[in-house]
Amino acid sequence: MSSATLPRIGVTIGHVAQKLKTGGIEPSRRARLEVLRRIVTRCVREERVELKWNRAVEARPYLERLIQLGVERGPLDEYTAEMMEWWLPERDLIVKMHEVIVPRFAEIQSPYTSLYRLPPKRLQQFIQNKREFWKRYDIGILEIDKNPFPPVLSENSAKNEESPNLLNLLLTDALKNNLEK
Amino acid sequence: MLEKLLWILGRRPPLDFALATVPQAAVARPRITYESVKEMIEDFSVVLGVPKYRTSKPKKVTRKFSFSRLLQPIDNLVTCPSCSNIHPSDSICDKCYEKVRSVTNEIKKKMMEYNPYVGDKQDKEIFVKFKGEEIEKDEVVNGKRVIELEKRATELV
Amino acid sequence: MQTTLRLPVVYRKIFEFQGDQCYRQQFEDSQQNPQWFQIILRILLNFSIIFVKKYMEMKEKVDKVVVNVHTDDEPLPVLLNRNISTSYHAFNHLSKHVADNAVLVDVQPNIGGSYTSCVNQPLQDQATIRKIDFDSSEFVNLLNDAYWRSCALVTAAILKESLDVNLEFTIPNIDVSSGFFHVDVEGLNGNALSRDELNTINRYAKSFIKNAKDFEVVSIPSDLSDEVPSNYIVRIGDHVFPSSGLVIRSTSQIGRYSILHSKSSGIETVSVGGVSLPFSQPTSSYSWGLIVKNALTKYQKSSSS
Repeated sequence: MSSATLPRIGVTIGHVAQKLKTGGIEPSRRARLEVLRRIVTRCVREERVELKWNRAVEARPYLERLIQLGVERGPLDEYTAEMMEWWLPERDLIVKMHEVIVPRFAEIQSPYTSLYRLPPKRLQQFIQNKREFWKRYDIGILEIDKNPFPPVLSENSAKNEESPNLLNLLLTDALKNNLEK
Repeated sequence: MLEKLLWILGRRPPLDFALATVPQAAVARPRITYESVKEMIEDFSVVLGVPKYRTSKPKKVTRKFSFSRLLQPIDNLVTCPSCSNIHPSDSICDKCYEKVRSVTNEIKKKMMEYNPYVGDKQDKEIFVKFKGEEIEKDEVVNGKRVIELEKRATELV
Repeated sequence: MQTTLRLPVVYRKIFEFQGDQCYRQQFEDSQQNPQWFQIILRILLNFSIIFVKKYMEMKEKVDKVVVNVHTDDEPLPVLLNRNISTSYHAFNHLSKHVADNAVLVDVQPNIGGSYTSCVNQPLQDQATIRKIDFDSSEFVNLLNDAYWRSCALVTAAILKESLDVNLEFTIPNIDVSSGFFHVDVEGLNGNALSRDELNTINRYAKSFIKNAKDFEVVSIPSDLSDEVPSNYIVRIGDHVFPSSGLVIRSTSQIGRYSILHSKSSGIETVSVGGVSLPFSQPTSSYSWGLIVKNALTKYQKSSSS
């Protein structure tokens, strides 16, 4: 494998291989790759996507490796070109990868992606015979770093902790005195 | 009279003499050695705990799906420092993210306004310009695709 | 003797705009009363609406003034009645939500320097006004002081309503960093309130705050400042208090509130202390418990010294 010389990617790899299912294909290795490819393609196109948590965890290393290939090898490498072609079936996304995303990380170490988890949410699936079917979803936010969107974790939260508003004043005083006892 | 009183008070059998008989017949001692495990189990099957009655359906259902099985306490809840919303400690605050999501979707909508089938590409970095904002440095926008939003930064966030 | 000399000045200033014989007579009588000042304040504020109505009837034509309300976009010009309409009315043109959230107002008059005023204070001149709410980081200290002062005033009003209307209060200036606020009560013969009494008062306080009573504010003109010791007169429900500074808009802006303890601080005076948090700064019951405990120990320590 020519990717053996690449450095380790800076993201955690899921412990259990997820049996990712999709409509139209029997649950198999092929179906799993199809799902992962769809996620990676969508991620490159949109730069921040919301997915099921297990899919996001599973797809993140693949996306990370793809960006790393671009950063380390460049567009002229044979293996990189092959990988790009397979993972990004749309030609304009290969251009985006090489001209926009890879230059962002030229001087930067991995990880190039971020993953956040949202609290589990119950969402309605469908209504059958006037009966509502709800399902609980674990949602993850997968994004390519340095995107044009506002940051998921705003600096506001850190600033708010230091604000001398009444609640903060009273509570810090209370905690301080509580610790001294 | 005394006996009766004792019986009532102490709940004891009446004080009396009785014949205690000891069975003299030789009790068949259990064999210590067995030829196979199956034989041993068969011999001991009386000793092993065996259900005497069928467990009723409600009991089974309660055991499997009682409230303590279906509902589990969430013990990792924390309060968001900026909006006081309660969320699990391993996740980000969904109330704060809702605002970020709305801005992200606005930008995404503009970002996706290109047609790859006629050769359009996302070949430039994106610079987001909110309404009412002035682009101060020319270098920032140089070579970037400017996305103008109809709303102000304060309206969205 | 001095009081009789000073009275006509106050009398003229307050009532010069209406020549009602009824009130005139009332004030001729009040000259003999040693507590004439309290009575003037009470009448002034309890009947302030009648005054305004009479004033309007008399003049028929009310003076108008244009005030700009600061928004994120263009400032919104609003036509108001001079010396009658408040910033609350101006903010209501924007939205009720904005008006309800406003705690203080930053006023930038067309002539002169900017200053901060209460929301329920009549506007006097052409100006640009800007809402200050509990989220604004710019005026945090001002907000905290105003909130603490308002809580002390509310405590006084609650005690007045639940104990005795004739109680006299002094509201000392307390820093927020002390962790509690307190009011000094005269008229309880130096008897501190018991635990049970405080519980009952706290229960009443909840309903009092829930009723969303507005803080109606009149600022004392500078030419009266040597007559009147305080800068503002505040009316909460049926009660009138002098105030040394700004207050919040309404009791609906008070969130968690608790009167903690009372102790006799002199021969005649009893001090009552409490702690509170704004409605827009919610907290868990655990944190609130910590704050209450801390405030209580601090207040008890301060009473011993």
